[in-house]
Amino acid sequence: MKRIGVYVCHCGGNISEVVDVKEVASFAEKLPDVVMVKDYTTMCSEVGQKMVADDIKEHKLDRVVIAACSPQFQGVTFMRTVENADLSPYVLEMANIREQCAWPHYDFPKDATKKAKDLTNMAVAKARLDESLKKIMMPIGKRVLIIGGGIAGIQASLDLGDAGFEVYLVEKEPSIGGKMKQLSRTFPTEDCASCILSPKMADVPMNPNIHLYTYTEIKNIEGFLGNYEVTIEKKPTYVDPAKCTCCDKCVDVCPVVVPNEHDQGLTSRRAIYLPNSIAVPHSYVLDDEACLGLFPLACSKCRDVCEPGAIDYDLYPEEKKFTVDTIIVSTGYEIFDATQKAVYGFGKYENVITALDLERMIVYAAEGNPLKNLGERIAFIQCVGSRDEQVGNEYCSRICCMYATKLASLLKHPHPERDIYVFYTDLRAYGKGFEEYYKRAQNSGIKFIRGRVAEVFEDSRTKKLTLKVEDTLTRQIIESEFDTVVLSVGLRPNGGTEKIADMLKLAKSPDGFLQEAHPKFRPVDTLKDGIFLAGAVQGPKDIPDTVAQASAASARATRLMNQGEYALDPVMAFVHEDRCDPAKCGSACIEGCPLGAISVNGVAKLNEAVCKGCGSCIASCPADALDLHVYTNAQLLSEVESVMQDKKKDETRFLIFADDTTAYRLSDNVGTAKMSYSVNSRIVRVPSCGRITPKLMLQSFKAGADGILFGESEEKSSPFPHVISTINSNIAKVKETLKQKKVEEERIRFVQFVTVMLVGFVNNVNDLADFIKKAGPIPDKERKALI
Amino acid sequence: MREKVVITSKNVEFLDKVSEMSGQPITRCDQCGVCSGSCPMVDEMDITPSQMMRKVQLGQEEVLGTRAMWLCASCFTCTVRCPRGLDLSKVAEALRQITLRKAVDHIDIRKIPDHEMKKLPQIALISSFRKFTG
Amino acid sequence: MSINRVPLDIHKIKVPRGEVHIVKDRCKGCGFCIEYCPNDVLALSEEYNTKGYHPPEVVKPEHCLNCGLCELICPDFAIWSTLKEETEPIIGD
Repeated sequence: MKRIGVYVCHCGGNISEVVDVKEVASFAEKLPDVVMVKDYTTMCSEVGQKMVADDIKEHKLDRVVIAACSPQFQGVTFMRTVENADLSPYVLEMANIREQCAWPHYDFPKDATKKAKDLTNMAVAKARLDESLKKIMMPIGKRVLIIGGGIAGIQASLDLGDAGFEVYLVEKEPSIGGKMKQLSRTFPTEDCASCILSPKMADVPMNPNIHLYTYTEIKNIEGFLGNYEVTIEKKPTYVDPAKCTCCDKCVDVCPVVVPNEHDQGLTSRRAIYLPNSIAVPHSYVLDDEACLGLFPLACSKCRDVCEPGAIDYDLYPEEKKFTVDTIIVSTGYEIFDATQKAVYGFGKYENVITALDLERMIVYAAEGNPLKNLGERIAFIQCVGSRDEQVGNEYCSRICCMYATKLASLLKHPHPERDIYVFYTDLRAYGKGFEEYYKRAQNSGIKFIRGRVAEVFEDSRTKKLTLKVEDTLTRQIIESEFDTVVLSVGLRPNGGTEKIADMLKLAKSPDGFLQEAHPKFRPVDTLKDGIFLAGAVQGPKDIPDTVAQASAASARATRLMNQGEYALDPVMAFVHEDRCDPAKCGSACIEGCPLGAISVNGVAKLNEAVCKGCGSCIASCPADALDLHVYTNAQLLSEVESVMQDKKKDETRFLIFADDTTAYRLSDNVGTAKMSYSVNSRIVRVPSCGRITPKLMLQSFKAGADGILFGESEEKSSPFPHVISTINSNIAKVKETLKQKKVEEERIRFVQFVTVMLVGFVNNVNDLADFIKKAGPIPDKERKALI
Repeated sequence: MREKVVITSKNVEFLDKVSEMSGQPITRCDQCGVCSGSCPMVDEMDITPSQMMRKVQLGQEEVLGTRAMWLCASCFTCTVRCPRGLDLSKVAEALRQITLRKAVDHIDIRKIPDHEMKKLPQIALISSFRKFTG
Repeated sequence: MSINRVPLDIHKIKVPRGEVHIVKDRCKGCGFCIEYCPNDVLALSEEYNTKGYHPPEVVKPEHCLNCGLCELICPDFAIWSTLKEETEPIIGD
């Protein structure tokens, strides 16, 4: 005998303004096994939660149903409430009568109320069959992998190393420091970038908890939270840092000269070189691609001249494997390739340079060693490669307005006679001290002109540049000559990010940077447990924000690792051993699991560490012996039957099976945006649509559904990429049956969604609704004959 | 005397009409000025291309009295450089069409003196009436 | 990240240049020197030596960096380079 308590929330008016909550409450009172029904304005408040806890004790409830917002919104809150009242958190069910009822159907309050009753009925039906599951605890250690050794990676590794975690910091360049080590000064304080970065860089190898691997790339990462198996490949530098005295003699004799990456190619280096003056590790590197040849050995002049004997050519890339518990991705950015904006002449005209080139030039000029004479008249062109649909980058790169102001100031102060112009569209000085800095720059005589530069020409004799731009504030066309033009280039994700994202299956935002789990509340998490983002890899940002995100990611990683264990989702397959007879079926289930989680030993057995809870295997068992915890076959059938109850003669209703990761979230987003769709829809939450067997689909039609829409994640961003083929084959089987029984095939549809496809969701749902309206409900005779 | 601009719902009608005729989301223009800087005919224009877009955005029908839209050569330099992907030549065409559809006559046949009428060749009369009448 | 640029300080740097000496009649036409020269300075010539083989000839003399690999790799001691001068690096070396 179950004792179910039902609560109907007004949600402060959000629900009660559309749905008649009192009517829903009185409907719930009549349902079997329901012993208590209440309605209240805000169930999620402290008062509401206490009410639930008190009622559980007073009325001896053993299941709780809350008809309110989406379970993806406050589900975790209420699960905790129920757990604190000594019940299993898995006997809590929520009926989504806000995002999936009151909000999208605000213009049909009567129908919305009817739908709310059905959804509550469905939640009660599921609750009735809930098992009192306990969370499964898995161990987690204290090892972190940090990919990328820029300022974000450095900050995160120092935070975690100091906190006592074991850190593996992997960087593909020969030295850590990222882009910050190339900068001259930083805005808005104009402090020297290398001076504040150097001590942090030096701290990294000194920290006993940090394993630093430079000149190293990630070859492979496999596994899951608490057990990521990492394979790295360390490239040989051919120079032993323990023996090298940095005497520079090898550099003098090397015959190969190549552009120096640290100076953006403005200066040269040899094949054997010190990456930069503050390099960590401070060691020479032999670039085997620039070198005349090591296999066979062509030159060997550097080794001949090396007194300590630090150079050894017989070295090969070294592979190393280790296991970590969490990962932080901090691969950073690269600057926009300005040759893509041919109108500005970068690469053709020698006096057109990028902002990063200018940073290097300023560093040299400050040391009394200028690389080039920049002249008296200098122009800055803003938004190069940003806010520009023509090159495919619609976003704003955030830092360019400020770095241009900074570079202009740094050029103006030592030479006040210079005439410096900044051509902008908007001047974004949003941060702390930024507006004041911009004002000081204006005071010093730097001219800010509002107009986006249209084109740049070069005078082939003098090499001076002429700009053509409209001053939009006076509506005059400016055509003026300048000695140097500086392009304020935007930011793109670093080239190495693509490979890491594919390896870890991380989602990308529309702008190409990696996507955070939630833009407001989880800015450094990804949707993969245990993998975090820090710095420019998540989006363009300046140094203070990067450091903040690095510390944030460290805190999030610490939160997971500190307890020594974490809870595993109990949504997992299991076997009804009394029905399982491998002799009869030929163990079709082994093949049925694409992850290989099923083995047969007398009866079918599940490997819980591998099972992800997609439910694909269920359809493969001819004896119905496979099932899924939290979303069992019996529960789903009961949900479908209850949501189709009390259907009127000409009424049409259809089901939407929505997967937890995408389609359910998407339908919530649609409701939140108050976009409306057919009120005849009834959404059923499933971990993945692979869980719905052909038998269940036919049972749904029999129970009263006039159509079924399956909504699932796109393959490339799905946590279960293998289910798409399972879903397709299950649907194909059902379509066969429908065709035989003279029921229209188009009543069953499958769409792959992404969470931002709001209009797509509405259109697909309404398409099905229109089809069903035209075709009418399935006639009773055909319905009964389906299964 | 400074002229003050009043923006009313009638202005929105003009904006909507031009947007619909040209098929361009004119409200998307953020007035960056690349179009004006790129235009080969801008030196002859009384208002710049971005100014034309601004006047349409504000719904100022007086833009129909300017010369700029007639000087547009449809060279598409502005279109290929616009960071918001707008096609200004289509907007200019829409404005030209609105003006032409008003069918205003700029010449009155009855005002031509008789002796002129006798002397002028036919082709001059036909072509000038084609050009100057609505 | 590959950089397509001519460094500004390239005029201040000198690299060694070598002069290639070939004893044509020792050559047995194995082609190792041509194959392994890091700067592609050598190519197979059309002429014959007394043994009937095609010896190498210098096609890009200004690119030789005096590394000495041809000298090390020739089985017959038929080719070597000596230091000639020091010049500026050439783009595309």
